[in-house]
Amino acid sequence: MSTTTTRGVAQPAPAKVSKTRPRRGLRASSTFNFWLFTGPFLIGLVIFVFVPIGWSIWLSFFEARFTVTPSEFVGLENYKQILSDQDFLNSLVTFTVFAAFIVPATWAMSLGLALLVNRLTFMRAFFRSVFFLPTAVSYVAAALIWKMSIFNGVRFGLANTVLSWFGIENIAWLANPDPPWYWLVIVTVRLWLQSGFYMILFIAALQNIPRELYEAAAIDGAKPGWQTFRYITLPQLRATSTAVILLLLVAAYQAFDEFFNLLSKATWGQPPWSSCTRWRWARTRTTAWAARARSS
Amino acid sequence: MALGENQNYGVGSAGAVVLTLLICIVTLFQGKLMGFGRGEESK
Repeated sequence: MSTTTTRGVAQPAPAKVSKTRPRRGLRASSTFNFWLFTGPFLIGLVIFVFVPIGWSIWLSFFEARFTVTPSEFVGLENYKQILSDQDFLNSLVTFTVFAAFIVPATWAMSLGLALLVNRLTFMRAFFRSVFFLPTAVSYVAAALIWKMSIFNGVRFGLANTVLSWFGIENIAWLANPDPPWYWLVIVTVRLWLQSGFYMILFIAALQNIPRELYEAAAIDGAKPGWQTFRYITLPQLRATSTAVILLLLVAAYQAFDEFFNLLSKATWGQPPWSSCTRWRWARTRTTAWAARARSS
Repeated sequence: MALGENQNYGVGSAGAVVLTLLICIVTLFQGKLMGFGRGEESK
C-alpha cells in the first residue's frame, strides 16, 4: 500500500509583491513610446520627402519662373513642353537603354557572386570584403581608371593588351561611336562599382532560406544545382529581388558621374552624354552668362 | 527649358513626375513579368 504525503516536498515560494508602483499614463503606454521614437523621423520624412513630392506634383501644373511658388495655372502645358523637348526625350531614351543593360547585368552578377560566396567553406569573410570593396570607390575615380587605364584605346591599355593576345586589333573604346563600344565601358564600370553592395543583400537573403526546404527537395528527388536553384532558391529570393531591381532602376536613372567623366572629352560630334539634360542646361546658362559678361 | 535662362520650375517638376512614373511603370512591369514581389500565399 502506498501513501502519498507532502512532507519533505519543497513548496513553491510565495510570489513577491512588488513594492514599486505600477507605471501609469503616457509613460507606460506603448503607443506613446512608438511615437516618441518614430515621431522625429516621421516629421523629417514628411517635411523633406512627402511635402516636396506633393509640392512638385502640384507645381507641375503651374508656371513658376525663378520661384517654387506657383504663379499661374497652366494645366498640362508643362507636360506638353517637357515631352516635346528633344533633349529631355534623348535623355529618357539614353537612360532607358542604360537601365536595360545595367539592371539585369547587376542583378545576375550580384546574385551569382552571392551564391558563390555563400557556398564557400573557407575565407568567406575575405571574399565577401573583396567583392564589397568597390562600393567604397568614388564613381569619378573609377570612371577615370576605366578611361585612362583599362579602356584607353591605345595598344598598351589593359583591354587592348588582352585582345592582342588573341590577335584582335586595337579598339577605340571611347573615341569612336560606331560600333558603340562606349556602352561596354559605361556598363562595366557601374557593374564593378555596385555589384558588391547588392551581393551583400542577396547573401543575407540566402542565409534566411530554411535548410529544411533543401532537405525536403532532396527527399522529393530534386537534383542539387539548377533544379534546387530554380524551384527553391529563386522563389525564396523574390522579395529581395524586387527591392534590388527597384533600387538598381532608380540608380540607373540617376547616373551622371561616369557618363560625364568617361565621355566629356569624346571627339566624335554628338556624344550620348549630351543627353544628360541637367548638364546641358547648366552649360547653356553658363555660356549665356559668359557671353553677357563679355558684351558688357 | 526648365533651367537656364528664364527658368520655369513648373516644367522641371513635370519632368520629375514623368521620370517617376516611368520608373514605377517599369518596376510594375518587371514585377508582373518575373513574378517578383508576389506573396507566398498567392502562389
